[in-house]
Amino acid sequence: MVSAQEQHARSQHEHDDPHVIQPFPERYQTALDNPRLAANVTRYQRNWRVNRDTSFEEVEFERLRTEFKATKTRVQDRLDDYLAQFQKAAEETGAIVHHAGNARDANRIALEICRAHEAKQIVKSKSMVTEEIELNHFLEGQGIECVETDLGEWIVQKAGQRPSHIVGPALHMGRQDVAELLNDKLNVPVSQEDIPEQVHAIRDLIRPLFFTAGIGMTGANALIAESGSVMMCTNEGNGRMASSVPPVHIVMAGIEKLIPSFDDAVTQLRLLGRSGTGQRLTVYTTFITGPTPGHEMHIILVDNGRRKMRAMPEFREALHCIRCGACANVCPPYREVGGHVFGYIYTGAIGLVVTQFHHGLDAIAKPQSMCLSCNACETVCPVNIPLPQQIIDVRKMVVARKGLAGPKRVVVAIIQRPKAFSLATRIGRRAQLPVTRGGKFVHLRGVPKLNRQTKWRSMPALATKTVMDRVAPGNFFPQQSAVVSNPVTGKTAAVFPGCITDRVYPEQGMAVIDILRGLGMRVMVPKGLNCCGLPSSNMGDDPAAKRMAKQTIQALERAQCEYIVSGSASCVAMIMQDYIHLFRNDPGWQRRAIALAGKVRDLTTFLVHDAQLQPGALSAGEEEPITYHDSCQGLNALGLAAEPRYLLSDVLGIPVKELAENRLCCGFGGSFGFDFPEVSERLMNAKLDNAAATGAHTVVTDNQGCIMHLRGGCDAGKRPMTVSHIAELISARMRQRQSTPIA
Amino acid sequence: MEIDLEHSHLLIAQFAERATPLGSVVDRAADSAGAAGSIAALVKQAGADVISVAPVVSERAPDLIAALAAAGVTIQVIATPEDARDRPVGLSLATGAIAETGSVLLDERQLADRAASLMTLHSIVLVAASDIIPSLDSTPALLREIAGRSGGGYASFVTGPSRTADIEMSLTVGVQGPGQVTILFVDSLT
Repeated sequence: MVSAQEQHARSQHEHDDPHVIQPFPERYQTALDNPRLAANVTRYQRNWRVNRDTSFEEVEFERLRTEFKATKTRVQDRLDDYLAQFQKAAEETGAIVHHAGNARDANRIALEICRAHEAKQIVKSKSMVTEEIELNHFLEGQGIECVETDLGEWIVQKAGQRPSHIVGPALHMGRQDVAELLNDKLNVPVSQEDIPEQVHAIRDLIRPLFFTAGIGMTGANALIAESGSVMMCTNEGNGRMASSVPPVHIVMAGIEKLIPSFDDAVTQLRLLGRSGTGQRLTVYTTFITGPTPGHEMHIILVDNGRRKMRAMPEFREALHCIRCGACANVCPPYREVGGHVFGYIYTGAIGLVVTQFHHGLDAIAKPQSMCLSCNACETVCPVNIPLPQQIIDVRKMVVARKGLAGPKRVVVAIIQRPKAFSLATRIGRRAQLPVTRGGKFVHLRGVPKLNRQTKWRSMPALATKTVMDRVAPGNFFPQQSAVVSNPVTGKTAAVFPGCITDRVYPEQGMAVIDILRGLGMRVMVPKGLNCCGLPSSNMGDDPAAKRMAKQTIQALERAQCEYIVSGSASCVAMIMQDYIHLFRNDPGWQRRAIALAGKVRDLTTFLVHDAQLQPGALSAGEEEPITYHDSCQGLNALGLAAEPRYLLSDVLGIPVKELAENRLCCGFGGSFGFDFPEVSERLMNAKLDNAAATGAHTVVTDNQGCIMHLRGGCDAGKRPMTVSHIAELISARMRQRQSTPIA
Repeated sequence: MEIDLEHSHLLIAQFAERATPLGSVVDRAADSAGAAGSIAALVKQAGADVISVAPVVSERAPDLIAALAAAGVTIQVIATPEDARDRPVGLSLATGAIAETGSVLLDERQLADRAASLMTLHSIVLVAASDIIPSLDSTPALLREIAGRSGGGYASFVTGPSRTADIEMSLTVGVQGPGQVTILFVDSLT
């Protein structure tokens, strides 16, 4: 029996031990309570974005990443061949190669080398794999001091923390934090303000250790099979020092770092420096082949879950990762809470994916829920890892093991049953009356228990009549004559309104119908439509997502139209892209999903590429400017950027004022706002502030989730901003045309 | 030869365009005597009278070393890393320079050679003008040759002064590597 007192003492001890990672809710709260953290990370992300984009202007990002992904795929396909080739070549130069199946083995091998050389001190260059296996903690327990020599890594080590970012370990900290650490904790007097002074003070503390340490340890950015070389990229020069001065050099590297040749190394370098820090190359790119004359070199090749990852098709591509940190640098929740929350030991999107293989699913069960599925990470990943999809697959594993939280379980149970969903909508419509008083919002701000959810955004009221109530599902509308001449006149289109549109914003669904009719198309809303399944998928309920996907596929197949058009970018991304992955182990349904995807269009793509609306086709003279909010599914999943802008500015003739940080999510993310309202609120306010700064009074977008979120924020924050769906603007203009007699 | 020099000249201009914004100083000399003059001036600028020389430079460019000594600079050929540690000026010889990235390629298997470009405060790197290459695409052959020697090798692309932006993304030069880098192209080095 452990007494309560002992238990308390133990938990206090764990609280003080920096090695113990605090529970997720504590980490989340700590991050929220630190006002400097979000400011530091935000600055980092903004600067990185500019530097990264500028540096990629002179090379072809898509071509390079396609090429390098193919290389990494080849390595994974023939992993053992390349490993053997690397080992043979490295051994021929005199290096000693070790294989570690797991963290324990890797640490033990390192310890044996230390013991053999009676080393008491190791100088280390930055290495994520040594963080992964918690080498420092292990060796220090054996009386061997490990000193991090990368400046940021040294700062977090001395502060008793872990790196919050793969490339910038201390980016969550600022000069005040560093000054506090040096002055108060380490008794090194240093300026509060002068960063170069701080850097040089730390440099001088580290410098002598290279000359006294018995062992230098580094990681590897690549292991080059053809020559047995280790490629290492650093900026400070500490990696060159650690691999040169001490008489023994240990390289610790994951087996996924293999690449076949120097030619592949060049491709990796062109991607890595730019993706990591916006540099063409880091200051030092070093190729180490064999030991320095008179020295000893060990290479420890670590598996620790990598072969298991390789064996799972869903996650195999995560082994392509070159640890650039780009996925964290565009991640909206990461920006607000940093890597100690968004990740485990590996941070950012890739951390949510790989952690289960190194540290178990439990370690990531809570952090993975911080991904709001904005897909931004995939757009900048230099090896094109399908990170958003992989994170959803991690979530599905978590949910399969632990189940959904209560409220989500109820929601999914309702929405996957069309009759229950309709009934719930009808009940909700009645029940909301006392709090909507016929208005557009449910105002619950008087209820203290709900404050965390409602004080910053108002929930929308359900519409009195859904789209389905307004149309005759399964029947074509009478055909109208085309307002503008176009190539789709007379063709058939099924409209997929989406469940939020249907129940909350039916006028937006009707606007899509009106637009297609205005093009002279034969239009219908199919029978039997429910929700596409996106909410279930995003919450991690795989069986429910599949059931809803099947319902949707069946209903849309029955419609037998040439096109399926939706004004909801999220639903379109789900139907066109996610269904194909969802049915990856079910070839019959996958074939049907692929066939369907060929007919599905989001409204803007359809109007630009199929209906081919011409510049000025729907313009009407002087217009007040608007600003456009790119929905994440529109921009990042469907690649829509030119289409909505062309429709607004060229076809309708409305000036579009670009809002700053247009790629940043508005913070909706489905259930994300309910799980992490503080982060959701900050992102929403950033979006609305950026929108207001354009001077426009209207934000236009193509996604109902964003509209619900932003309208709710404007209402709660009393912001004088209108949020509209692009379909509403287009259909209004078409109506004007229809009522204007042609001269 | 004339055409080669003209070609090098264009590449060196591109190199300088890329290297200068990163904090490297790019200079050019016609021959060993000219180079020695420039180096002697840099040593003086650093308030020093001694230069820490990579052994490979004294082997491959003896004329330049002689000219430097004649200009009153004390020559210290590095034997151990401690010889170069935090010394004011180091002198190295690059195998090549890459115009695409503004980098020099250093082939430094011997620790004493490495120490000159790594541990001094101001690293001066000599490059024969004819050794400049347009892009990284030509480097695999060079790297393969270095790695393929018996016992392997230690090759580095060095692109500017040592730097960090780990605190608030504020750029600070001169961390564990040199805070100053001068690349000196010499038309006729030996």
